[in-house]
Amino acid sequence: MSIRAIVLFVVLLSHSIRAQVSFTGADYTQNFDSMGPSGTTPPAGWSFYGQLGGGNSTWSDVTGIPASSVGGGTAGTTLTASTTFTSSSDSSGWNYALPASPADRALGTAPTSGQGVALQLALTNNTGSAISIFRIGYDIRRFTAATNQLPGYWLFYSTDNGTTWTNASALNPTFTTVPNTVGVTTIPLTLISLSSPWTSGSQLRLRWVDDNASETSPDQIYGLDNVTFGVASGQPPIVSLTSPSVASAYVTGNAIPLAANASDPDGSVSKVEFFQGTTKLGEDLSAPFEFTWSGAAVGTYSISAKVTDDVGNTTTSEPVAVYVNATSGSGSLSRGPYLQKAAGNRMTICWRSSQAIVGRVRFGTSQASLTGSVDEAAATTDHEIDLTTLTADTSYFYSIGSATDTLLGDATTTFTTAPASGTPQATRIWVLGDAGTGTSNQTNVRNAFYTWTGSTTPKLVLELGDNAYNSGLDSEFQAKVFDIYGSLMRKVPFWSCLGNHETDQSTSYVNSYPYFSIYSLPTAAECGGVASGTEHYYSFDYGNIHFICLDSMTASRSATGAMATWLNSDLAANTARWTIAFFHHPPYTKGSHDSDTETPLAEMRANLLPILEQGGVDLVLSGHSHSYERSYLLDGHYGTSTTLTAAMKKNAGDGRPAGNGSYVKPLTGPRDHFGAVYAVPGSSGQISSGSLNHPAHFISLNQLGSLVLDVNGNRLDATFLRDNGVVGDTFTLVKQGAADHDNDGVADAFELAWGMNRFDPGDATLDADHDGNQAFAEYLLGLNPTQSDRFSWTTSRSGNNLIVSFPTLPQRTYRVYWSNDLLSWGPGSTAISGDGTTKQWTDDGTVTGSAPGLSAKRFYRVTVSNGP
Amino acid sequence: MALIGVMGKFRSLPIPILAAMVLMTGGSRAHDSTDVAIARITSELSKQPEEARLYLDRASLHLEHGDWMACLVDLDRADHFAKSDLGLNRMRGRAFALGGKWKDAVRALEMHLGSHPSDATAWMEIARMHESLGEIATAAQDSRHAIRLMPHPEPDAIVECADLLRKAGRDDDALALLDQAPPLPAIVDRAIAIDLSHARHDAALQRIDSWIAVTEVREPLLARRASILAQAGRRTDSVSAWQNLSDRLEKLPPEARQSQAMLTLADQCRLALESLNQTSEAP
Repeated sequence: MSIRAIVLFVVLLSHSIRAQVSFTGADYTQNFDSMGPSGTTPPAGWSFYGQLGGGNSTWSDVTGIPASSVGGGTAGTTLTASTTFTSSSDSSGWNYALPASPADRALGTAPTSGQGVALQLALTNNTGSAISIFRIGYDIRRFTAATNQLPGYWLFYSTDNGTTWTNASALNPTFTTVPNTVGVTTIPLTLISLSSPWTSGSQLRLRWVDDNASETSPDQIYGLDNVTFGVASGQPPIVSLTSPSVASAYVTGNAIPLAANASDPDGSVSKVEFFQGTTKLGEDLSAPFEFTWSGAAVGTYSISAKVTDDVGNTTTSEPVAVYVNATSGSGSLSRGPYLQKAAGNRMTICWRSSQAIVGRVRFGTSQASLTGSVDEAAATTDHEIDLTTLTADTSYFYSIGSATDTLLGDATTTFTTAPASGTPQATRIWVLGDAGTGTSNQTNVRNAFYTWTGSTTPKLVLELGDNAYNSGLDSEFQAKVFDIYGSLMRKVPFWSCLGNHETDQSTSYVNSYPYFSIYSLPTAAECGGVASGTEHYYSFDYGNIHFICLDSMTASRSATGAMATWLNSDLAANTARWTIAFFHHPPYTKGSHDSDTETPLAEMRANLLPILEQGGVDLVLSGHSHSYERSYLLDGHYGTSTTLTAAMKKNAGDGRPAGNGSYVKPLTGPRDHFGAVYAVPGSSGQISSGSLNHPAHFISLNQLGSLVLDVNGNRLDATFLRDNGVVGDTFTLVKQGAADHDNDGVADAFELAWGMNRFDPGDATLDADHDGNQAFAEYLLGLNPTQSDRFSWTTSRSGNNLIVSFPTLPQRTYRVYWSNDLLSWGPGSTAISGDGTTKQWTDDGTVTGSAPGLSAKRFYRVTVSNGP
Repeated sequence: MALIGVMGKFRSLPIPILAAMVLMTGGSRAHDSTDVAIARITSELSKQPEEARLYLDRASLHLEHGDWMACLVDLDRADHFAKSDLGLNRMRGRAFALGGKWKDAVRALEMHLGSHPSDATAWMEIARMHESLGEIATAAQDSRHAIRLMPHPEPDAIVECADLLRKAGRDDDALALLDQAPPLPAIVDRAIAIDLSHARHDAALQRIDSWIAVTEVREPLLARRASILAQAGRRTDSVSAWQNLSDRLEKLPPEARQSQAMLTLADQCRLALESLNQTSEAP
């Protein structure tokens, strides 16, 4: 039976055996005494649901009971009657008696084998009008005392027949409101504003949920009693806290001013009470409604104000968090500072302080003069401040702290903003793959790089995922990222992609992993590229380099999924000279993982690589396999390793200038499918076994190390630096010349512009416009191959000399020849590089033997060839 | 909960503790490759052949390594030796899905959802299984239910659901869902596609104009706009839009103009203008 069938059956069952209460406006009350000492059915309109939220999950007094879990459960049919209460647990409902009075009954619960049991009351609105506010009060009878569960019932309601549930949070019990002693707690009549109106004729469902979170004995056993339900008389009052402000920080011993705005639309305000959590701090009977809280101990508090109007209606404000610190200021520095979301005009500075405080960054171009400052909006221990008014390619100093202190600010807290997008700049990039072991392997790799790079600080660092083993916990990031690279992170932004250990192997596409709290990544194109709307995948620019980060772990790897759609858009707007993509799962590997057999790797290769290669990607970086593997210049290899062909190797050499030569790609023109290098530097923290024989790779090493990229103008040099300081591999990519896919001498840009086929070398010799010039000649001369036209050049006299003038194009070489008889030709000019301007050569007889004016006749011709 | 004495050894432990056990074994294998970790657990199992948590650990590693059949075998062993419900149907569903056993995956996920009806991710997974089985209406329904359960659905989930709703013929529902999301490429792209499929060209143009307004590199979107104008039969406007784009591309700095992205657009401009001009010349 399918789930839907089961659910339908349950719904029908509950409908068939449970009547609803008709609510006509008068108060509905229920004391459950009608069940009697042996009743096995609850009163009309009442039902109960066991196994709520599934078995043995994680509700707690921290997470509370999520509304999304309230709608399920298995409908029960028969209550168990008890003389008093029972110490047994089950997944249904109980008919309990109060110890002192067996006739006084309560509807009870003692959940087991599941998260909870809900008691439900269903009412039909027969008042003839919609109801937006109701009031409710009830007693929680506590039969046992223990602290291993939430102390009492949480009330939820639904106006859409149980599809969505809303928590009446003002009534949520705490150990303060429901003391940890046997006895009764009365929840007074309280107004509840419905999130959507209870329309006439429809049903309102109320569920009192008893959790079973901790799953250890002794159980907490409750009963629900003396329920009163009615509509509000009049409008509820309105209240909001005006002091303290959201997430503000105070020092213990100092008074904390509390203030609220309160009003009543149809009456007057009787009083405003101030609470921290459920503890009442004080009250004020008249405006302005204020109270001074003194003696707050160090801690974090939730402050709220509750207003009561002249007819007893009450409303409670949204709570505000308040931090009470031991001392003024930030306390001590627990993490960072570290840099995120770097761009030409911005930098995000993050750190963690021991005390919650409103953080402040002071910054300036001189360490002695930090003239700018930015404050956070609210107090916190995990600070993140955006500096958004910076100048590109400029060095800044900064300090962190608060309005009253400076945690750190010295010569080490400095950064340089990125050059403006598109601006070439010598750029060193340090790439770390699977580094986060916290072992000497990791520190040796780090130290080797620090020694090798010396005073040349990298402009940025790429982390390829698995940055902090084993589960990506915050504490693991502290030990294996911040404690390892902290000094560098103060001055260089670290960019990361999601690895399988960041999610603790989960493939759920959620933002609840600690990774997303630690890293602050661009979602709205703050740092260049196209907005992705998610930190899972994003892009950014550094000068003339465009970086693309993909999520190979949790995002859809479909060629038509959201990530692929975004990637297409991003590449469609990418005009950078260099494009580097990085993600965790390598498309080609035979290290500790096998790209032939593992789904994420194969899907990235089959679905995302075609998009990247179509977009002209130059370098793809991945980790996951704990080794170093580096490919040839490849294109079009989307299958398993056995499908690799020689044609897919755009350059089967070593990529080394001193070896087979650099990998060369075009500088101008369309750059799709000219090849990319795929590198897997996944050995920055450990090495593992593997056959290391993927045929796509030029080199595969089971050696610790990291990858260093040096991009300078049209050249990218990559160095695999081992942990012992030895260079294990190098390769070079060079951008030069114009793209010419079919190698017919006609640049692809020209073929595209004039509708030629850039994949057919044959069309270079065609003369489509019948003007006597083949397409190749038209290209060289800069003519229109679709219209009959001619190369226009002139001669003019200057005394006895003659000046030859001709237009030029970039990437062409021109040379003027002369003749007196059209039979014998001699070189006139030297080679002249075209640049888009008109060039001249003067025949003054120096080369030709006599000035043209003194010669009977003189002929000239201009030759044009490809290349500078 | 009070009946702890009759519960199995795992049932008596809350899930956080179970998770901690898993992580403890994981902790010692933190730096192993999957193969090595599997071998190590196998060695431990030779000493404790009835230790369910070791089978569970190994199942997880098998799944990570793509070995879905081995994963299933270990899950069954874990269940067998635990002698209680470990709640492994979610992982079992993932393993079946990895192996292309869609019906088995559906069955496993249905069992999981029976006890975890608010697990939005599992609803998305079962939707995918139904889609693979060609049960599109059910897939769309499950996917939409998953979105409702998500407090802040990510663009990926919205797109996936919208695609399923479209496949199920529920275009208006898909559009309504997309309209709730921020104007991101994947979102707007699909919304425009739906508008165009219903010949709602003005709505599509409105969407792309809004998108253009918040985008830095506008050329690709201007091309899209010109294309929509052509589809709407507004030939003159389309020619003008393509021509304006062509002029705009010409004015770009040389390196940007010569980029893959802009040259592709220039080619689109040329082809579109050629096509539109031919249309105008036709009798």
